[in-house]
Amino acid sequence: MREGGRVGGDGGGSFLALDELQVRFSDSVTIGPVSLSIERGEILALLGPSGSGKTTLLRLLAGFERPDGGRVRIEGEDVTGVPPARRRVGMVFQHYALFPHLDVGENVAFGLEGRGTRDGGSGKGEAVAAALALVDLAGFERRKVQELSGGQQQRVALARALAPAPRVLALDEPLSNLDPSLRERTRRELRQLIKRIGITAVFVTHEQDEAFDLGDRIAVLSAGRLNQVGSPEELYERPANLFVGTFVGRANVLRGTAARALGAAPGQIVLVRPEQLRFAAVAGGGALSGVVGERRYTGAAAFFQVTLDTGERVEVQAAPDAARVGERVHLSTTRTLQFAESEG
Amino acid sequence: MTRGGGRSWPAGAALTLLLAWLVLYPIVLLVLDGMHGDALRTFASRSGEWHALWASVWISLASVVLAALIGVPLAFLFEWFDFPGRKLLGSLIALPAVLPPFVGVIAFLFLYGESGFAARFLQYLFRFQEAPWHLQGAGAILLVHAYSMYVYFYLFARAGLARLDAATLEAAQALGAGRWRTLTRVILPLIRPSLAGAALLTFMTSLGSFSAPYVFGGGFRVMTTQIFASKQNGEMGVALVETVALALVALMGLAVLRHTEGDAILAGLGKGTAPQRRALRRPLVRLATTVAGWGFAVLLLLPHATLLLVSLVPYATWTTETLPPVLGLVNYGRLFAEPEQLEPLVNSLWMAAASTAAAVAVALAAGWLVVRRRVVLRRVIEGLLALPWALPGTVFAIALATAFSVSAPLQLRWVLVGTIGILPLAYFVRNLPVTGRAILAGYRQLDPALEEAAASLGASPWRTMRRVTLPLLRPALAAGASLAFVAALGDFVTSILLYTYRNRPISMEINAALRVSEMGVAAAFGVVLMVVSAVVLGIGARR
Repeated sequence: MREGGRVGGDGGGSFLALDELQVRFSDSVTIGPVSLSIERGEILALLGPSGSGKTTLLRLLAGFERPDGGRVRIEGEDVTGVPPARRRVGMVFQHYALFPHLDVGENVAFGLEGRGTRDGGSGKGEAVAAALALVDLAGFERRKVQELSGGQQQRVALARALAPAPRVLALDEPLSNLDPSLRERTRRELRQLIKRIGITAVFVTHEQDEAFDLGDRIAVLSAGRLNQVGSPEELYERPANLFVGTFVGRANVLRGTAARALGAAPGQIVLVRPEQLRFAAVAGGGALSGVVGERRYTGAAAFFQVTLDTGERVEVQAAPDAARVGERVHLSTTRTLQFAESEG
Repeated sequence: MTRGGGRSWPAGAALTLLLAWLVLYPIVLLVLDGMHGDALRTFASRSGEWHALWASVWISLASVVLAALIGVPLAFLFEWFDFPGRKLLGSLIALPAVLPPFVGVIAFLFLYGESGFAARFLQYLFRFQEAPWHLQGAGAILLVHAYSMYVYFYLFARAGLARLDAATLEAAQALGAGRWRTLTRVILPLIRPSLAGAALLTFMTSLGSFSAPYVFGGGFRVMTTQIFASKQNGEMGVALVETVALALVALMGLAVLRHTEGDAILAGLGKGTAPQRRALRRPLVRLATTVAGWGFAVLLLLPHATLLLVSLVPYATWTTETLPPVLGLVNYGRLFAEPEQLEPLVNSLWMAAASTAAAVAVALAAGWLVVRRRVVLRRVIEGLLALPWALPGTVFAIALATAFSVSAPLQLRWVLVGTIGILPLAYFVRNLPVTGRAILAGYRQLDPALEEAAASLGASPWRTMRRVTLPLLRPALAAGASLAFVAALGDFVTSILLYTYRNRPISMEINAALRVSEMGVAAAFGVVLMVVSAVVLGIGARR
């Protein structure tokens, strides 16, 4: 939490601020206190494994949960006690939650009805058409939501959330219900769309790729605690602790003799990424030795599973022809990260 | 907001108290009042009481067996085999369900009674001097029960069979099991929860059955008719003891059958596709099945047809002839032209509508508190909603009559007996289980994210309810409300104990018409009940 994260405290001037938010589910399960500040037009990813509290944070932001402590501010206004209906946070739900008894147009118009846009229907119709055009579904007004594909449903959910012009867009695992083949493209389109509108967005994901592709900054959570907030580069290059180091990107974790061989002080843990390991010609100072046990070919490169003399296994990313299975190899590092044992 | 329903506890407590007052309190008062020494001694010393209690038990058990013997084979036939007319017959076969119990009983009386069509026809054929049989006693009651209750086994077993995974049956065959072994070792165990559910429903229904023993029992008494007789004789103390005894038997039956219903896991396992229907190919088998199927359907429809025919017979025009010589719409004309006759129709409609609306409102509140708010008392609320189902209608009628025959506002008791309010109140209490069950199930299937989506789009709680929750609950609401409405509309057992002249419902008017041998008017009322019930159930079942 020291490096790279603009964490807490400076929420005064930011567009959206979570100050010391805290929820107690039971004595053993608590979330927070978490503080985050998000700039206008920024896309923030809440990344973490299941049970890390990321969805709860999003629901606190949207107003579906009440915090036991702390506050939520949007544009300087304290909205902690404001019910969801008056908070003006657009929400895209994990399973979209489209109203099955309404058609596409009625779904999108739902949020426009209560908000003083009752100008005889034509204005509303235009707003619906504009929202649908935004997500490339122009002319879909009279379709039934059950007839749409998963990707189209996701876009209707987005159009519905955006139509009433919310101040913040909240997305709960927006891509998890899509075909893997669709996800990557949708990710790019979603980011372009959000940037084009310029809306401030917060989304929840448990997938690192999604967080990296979609988010300007990423907040990494585990067990209800905020570990680090930063850009993808910051998280990957300068993880604040061992959890972030291993959760974001692939990593080899070395302790004891192997760690000391790489120059770590006693009690230090060494984290080294597969591409930061090199096959070396001879054993030298600060190097490791072992035998290649497995090779996994991915095209441009290959991953080699090396069992070290100390018994640990590490993964090395190298050119496909860099080593053979069963070959005895020596490894050197281009870069390592070190953490104190207690940080694990 | 969603944790433990914190701020909803006052609403939860209020609903719990309301339900406890309406459902539990009368039963408690009934038990307390029934525990008086004299009445207990009288009850224990009369052999007739024990005979009636035993008759209730064995009639109910025999009804379960008979209903299963008819319903289960039919379910297999209609679920597994294909033959001409299967679809039409499959829905016709559920028809006894649209006959209110009392109307079904009088239809049987007109059809199989001593001067009914069947007897007259045999007399005509064989020149008998007298009716060949008396439709009376235990046999007659069982006949009516079997006719009206096999539907439970038929519907439940069909649903169970439809959930079976064809792969399990194929696995049994691949392991070398023959047809019989597959049936006894695989199929029956798998549909056991469905069969146990049907058995429970049949047992409880026949334990509470009043119309059939009332009309056909003669000297043969079961507990429900025994209670009615005691009350008519002014032995209210004995009636209370009898009611408590019947309630105990019902609760015991419920406990035993609940226990066997047990593992729902069995049914939950099957996620595959149901076995394919097999077309009957051998011409002879096909012909026999088709003929038997249609024959059976005609048999089932005969009571309905009889009712219709009798309703067209003007008063005193049909004496000794096999078929009525004069037919006309006179009876229907009287029904709607004479205010005396129209009144019970209006009474039944408003009481059924009001009690249904109230039960739906309570069930909606319960659904919101139990499923959405998950209030602390949610289990208590669910239990109280289901309780009236566990006790026969007679028990509740007597309990309400006991609770609301005293003016003691401090004990929350007012005099309602003898007013027009008590009957709709009784209908309402009796309607709580069916509306509660349907609406709670509907609420549980409703994704909470839909209501959250509405809120995040700026909808107020009221608008969310009106635009999202209620439209999506519509199938559950319609199903629960239609069943409740039909039950209240055709009710006989509660009405006969609690009605006053000013709110006499249709069933009481039918009973009165029968007493003065106005068969045509009684049948016309029956037809009206049947048609309204069928229409309402049809609307309720629409998706």
